Amino acid sequence: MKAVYITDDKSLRLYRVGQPSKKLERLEVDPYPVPAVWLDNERFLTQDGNGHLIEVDLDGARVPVVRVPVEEKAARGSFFRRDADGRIIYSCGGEQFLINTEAKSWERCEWESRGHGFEESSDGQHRRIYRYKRTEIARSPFWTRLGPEALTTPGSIAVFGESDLFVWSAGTGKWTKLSNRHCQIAGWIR
Amino acid sequence: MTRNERKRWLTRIALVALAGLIGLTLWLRWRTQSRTDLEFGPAVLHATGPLGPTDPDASLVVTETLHGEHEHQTRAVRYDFKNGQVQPPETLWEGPYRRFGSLSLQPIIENRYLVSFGGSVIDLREKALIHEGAGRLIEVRGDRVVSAFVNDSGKLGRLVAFNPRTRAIEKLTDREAEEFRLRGEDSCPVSGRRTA
Repeated sequence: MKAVYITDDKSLRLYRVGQPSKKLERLEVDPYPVPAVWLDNERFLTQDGNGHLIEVDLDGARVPVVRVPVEEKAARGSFFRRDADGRIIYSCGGEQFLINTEAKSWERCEWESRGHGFEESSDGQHRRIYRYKRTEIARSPFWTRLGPEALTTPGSIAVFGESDLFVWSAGTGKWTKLSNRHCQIAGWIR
Repeated sequence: MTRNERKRWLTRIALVALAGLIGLTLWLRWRTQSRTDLEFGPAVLHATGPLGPTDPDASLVVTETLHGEHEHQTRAVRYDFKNGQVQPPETLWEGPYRRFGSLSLQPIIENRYLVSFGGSVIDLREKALIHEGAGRLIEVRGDRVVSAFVNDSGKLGRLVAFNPRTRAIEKLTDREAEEFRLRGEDSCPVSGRRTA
């Protein structure tokens, strides 16, 4: 068990159970959200300035991975996450990139996997676009909500369309309205 | 001050006030007019027709918050889908919001237990609240749902490890407690840590 923490002076600090914390080095990052994603038990991916992605190991050794041509060099709050297929997505200044650390390459992320053949993107009207096996099935306005906006299981997806919750099934190709109360999606069970 | 001078001052003040009023009106109009770049498009749900085989049967679990006069209620509801068709909803548990609270990030474990942000657990099969969490969920690891008491300054206090299978509180070793505390700091949104 270990944790990376970014201190106020933008230094990386490594915490490990049973060991004193260790200062690694200083980077050009914003402290929150921490722009880092673990690659394995020994290395994590982070940035030293927007678009300059590097691998750092537990001794602080850094290896350049790829330089991503972000448009907003001074954008704040860049971060990493993994989609449902485990791909690394780097978000910076409203742009999203898929990062392949093995091939040291990047590409613009048009569609993010939601699992089970469902994908999500966004249009220019503050809406999420959902598609199933490359066929568009819905556009849903952005909403500030606790919990997930959409959740998939094989052949089905639950999506909030504005304030209502709907489910689409691949077998019928139809949407079913479930609830219009204040609700949160907990998950699918079998 | 002569009468004419007073009249000139009053005229100036009136002109300044009028200009301010016009400026304020224009500013308010600019602030309140609709801007195309901020407009949200409507929700669009396409009827695509079948795009795959008949779905395997599955159930969707949601929680609803019912706003009461004195106390909010939480209701856990299950919607069964058979051949892609929704069946009538079934209420699995309903009780005061304070006993369960909001959902955790990955709230369903083992296809059976619903875990809240505070560490409370509902058994979806038994339709019962089987554990009230300590206040903040730290982690679900193996058979354990670990939550912690949190003091007023946000510091983690005593840890509670609940096993939903045995429905027992389990004792943590010192090393486990240290690991969970490290993880607990990660679950605090201002700490800015990333654990692995």
